[in-house]
Amino acid sequence: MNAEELLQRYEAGETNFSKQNLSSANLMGADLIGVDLSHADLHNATLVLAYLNRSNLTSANLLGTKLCGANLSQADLLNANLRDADLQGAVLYNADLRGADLGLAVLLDANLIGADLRNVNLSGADLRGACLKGANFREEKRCYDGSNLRGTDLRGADLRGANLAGADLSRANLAGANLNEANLREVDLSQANLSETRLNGAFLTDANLSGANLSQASLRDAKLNRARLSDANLNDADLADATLNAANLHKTSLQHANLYRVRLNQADLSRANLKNAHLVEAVLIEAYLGRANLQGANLTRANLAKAELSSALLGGAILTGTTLPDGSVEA
Amino acid sequence: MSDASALIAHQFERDTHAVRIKKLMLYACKDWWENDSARLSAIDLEELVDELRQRYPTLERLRSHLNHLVGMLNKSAEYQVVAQFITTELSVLYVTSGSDSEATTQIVSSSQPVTPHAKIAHLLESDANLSRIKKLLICVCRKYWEANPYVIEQTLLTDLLQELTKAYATLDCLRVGLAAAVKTLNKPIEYALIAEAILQVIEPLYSIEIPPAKPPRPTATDLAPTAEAYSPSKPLPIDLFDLRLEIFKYTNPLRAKILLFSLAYYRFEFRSQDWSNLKLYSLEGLLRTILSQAVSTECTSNRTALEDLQHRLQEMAQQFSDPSELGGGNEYLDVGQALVKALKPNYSVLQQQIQHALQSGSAADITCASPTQVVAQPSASPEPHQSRDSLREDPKGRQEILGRTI
Repeated sequence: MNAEELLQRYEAGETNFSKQNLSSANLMGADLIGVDLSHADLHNATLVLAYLNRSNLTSANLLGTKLCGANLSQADLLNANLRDADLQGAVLYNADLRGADLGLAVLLDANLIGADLRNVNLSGADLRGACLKGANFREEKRCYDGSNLRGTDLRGADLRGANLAGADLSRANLAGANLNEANLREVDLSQANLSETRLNGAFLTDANLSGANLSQASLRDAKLNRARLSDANLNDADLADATLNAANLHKTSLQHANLYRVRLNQADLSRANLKNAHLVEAVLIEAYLGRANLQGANLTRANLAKAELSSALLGGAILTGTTLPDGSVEA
Repeated sequence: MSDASALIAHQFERDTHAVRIKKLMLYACKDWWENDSARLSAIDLEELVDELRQRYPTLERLRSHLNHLVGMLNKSAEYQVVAQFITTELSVLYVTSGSDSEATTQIVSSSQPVTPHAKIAHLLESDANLSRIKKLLICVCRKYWEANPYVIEQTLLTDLLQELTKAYATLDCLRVGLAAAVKTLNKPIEYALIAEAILQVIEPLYSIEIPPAKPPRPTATDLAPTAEAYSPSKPLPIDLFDLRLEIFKYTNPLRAKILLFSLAYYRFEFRSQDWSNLKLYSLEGLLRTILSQAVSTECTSNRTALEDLQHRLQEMAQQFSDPSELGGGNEYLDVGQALVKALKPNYSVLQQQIQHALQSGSAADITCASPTQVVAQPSASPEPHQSRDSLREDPKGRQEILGRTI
């Protein structure tokens, strides 16, 4: 079937074009709202600025298809093959992309608000500046594996309130992205770039952030209980009011970080670098600070009751009103 | 030193430009250009860092040589950034070795700047954007645009500063001159920041008594003991997330980009070259460019900056229609209206933030504003030793397409 025939038959009222072969067809700007192209072969086709709202593209072959600016709002793209597809500035609002393969696809500035992205493969995809507000990537045991976002470029992306629980974001680039209030429980963010990323109020419980770059990131009021942050870089990060109980911060670098009123109960801070960190009113009950570097840190009114502090470096640290491991309060 | 080199090598490996960094470093060390990815990946970055450090005894020599090499590449714009990044990162190695001989450093520095011009030149030379600073100064002094990196390298800053103070009697005159020059360039936001940086450094030349250098910004440590609420040491970055969300909600992001691109650079005509140029810019980058253009043209019009922008958007949208293969419809009037609708409630706040960013010239904003580049695919074409006059490909090609670059 060629493009002309498709458009003529659609014009005449037909909508079912399931399993048709339309590879390399030119359907630029075509109005195909509500069309059924499930299992169709559209690889290398041109659908730039086409209207595919509410279309059915379940299991369609869209390998390398040009879909820049195409409107795919509320479309069904379940298990579709969108590898290498060009979706720059496309509208995928509330689209169903469960199980779709978007590996290496270009989604620069795409609208993915509210999209269902469970079990999706976005490894190596370009999602710079994309809007993913409220998108769902959630892992569901025995039903959906965590989404694959390994090495995905998400610089400047809007992921506010997105649900990424259990997703694999290792080595992803999230520099300057907005993840405020996002659900990142149990995500793998190891070696990821999160510099200057906004993570205020984000849920990072049990997340793996080892080796990640979080320099100058904003994590105010974030939940990081039991998170793994060993070897991560949190220099100049803002963690005011964040909760990091029982987190692993072995060899984590927190120089000049703002840890005002942070909760680090039972956290492992062995060999952590807290030079010049701001720990005013921080709570570190039973924290392990073996050979941690606290030189020049401000621990005013911090609580270090039962913490292991004997081998920590404290030169130049401010300890006014600090509760020490033995329970005594420094004058 | 090996620790520091390992750290730098690690930094390079994780950079999005890792391949280009390696290519350029290899070129500088071994004088050959390697395109074979297998051979490239076999080369150890840390060794290259050490070799580079040994081969170029001073940071200045390294910077100069890298710039010279970059000038010979057909993708010099992209590699300029890479060269700058390499020199910035490697500067650590030069500092540490310098501290071994503290005494000599002091003698040198005490005997160095003699005239005020030399003093200012010295300050500007340490800036990471030296090449752009020189280009802009050449432009305002000699009224032409110099693109040859070798000529730029050879031009002495002290000479330029002498010419500058002769040509512009007061700091205000210079400010106007710089602003006028910046407006004619295809990268106005980048050069507006450069202009602001120049003005800040150059100010002492225009006052009778040279005041001491401006006090360093208070760091977090200085504040820490007193300010318990903790104030961040750098200005907040401009937050365009809400503005973008409004645009996403009410219009097609691609059409919004096409319209903004046409306003910021040149009219988009749906040619394949236009498409690849568009991909170099993010919606956010385009918004920043438009907003800063609006800020800098504000005083020349009777209308408010927003009205002016609204007018320009409508005008552009009116002459726009999709090509016939797209049905020839004009969706762009709606797009323009959606953009204005999104901009309106936030405009005054955004305007202030942009103004502040232009003044402070924070690095974060420069990176955001610069075109986002596609770095995924390694280029198939051989890169070096092409005639500098040969037709350049993207994104350098932008400068030619524009025809506005002076």
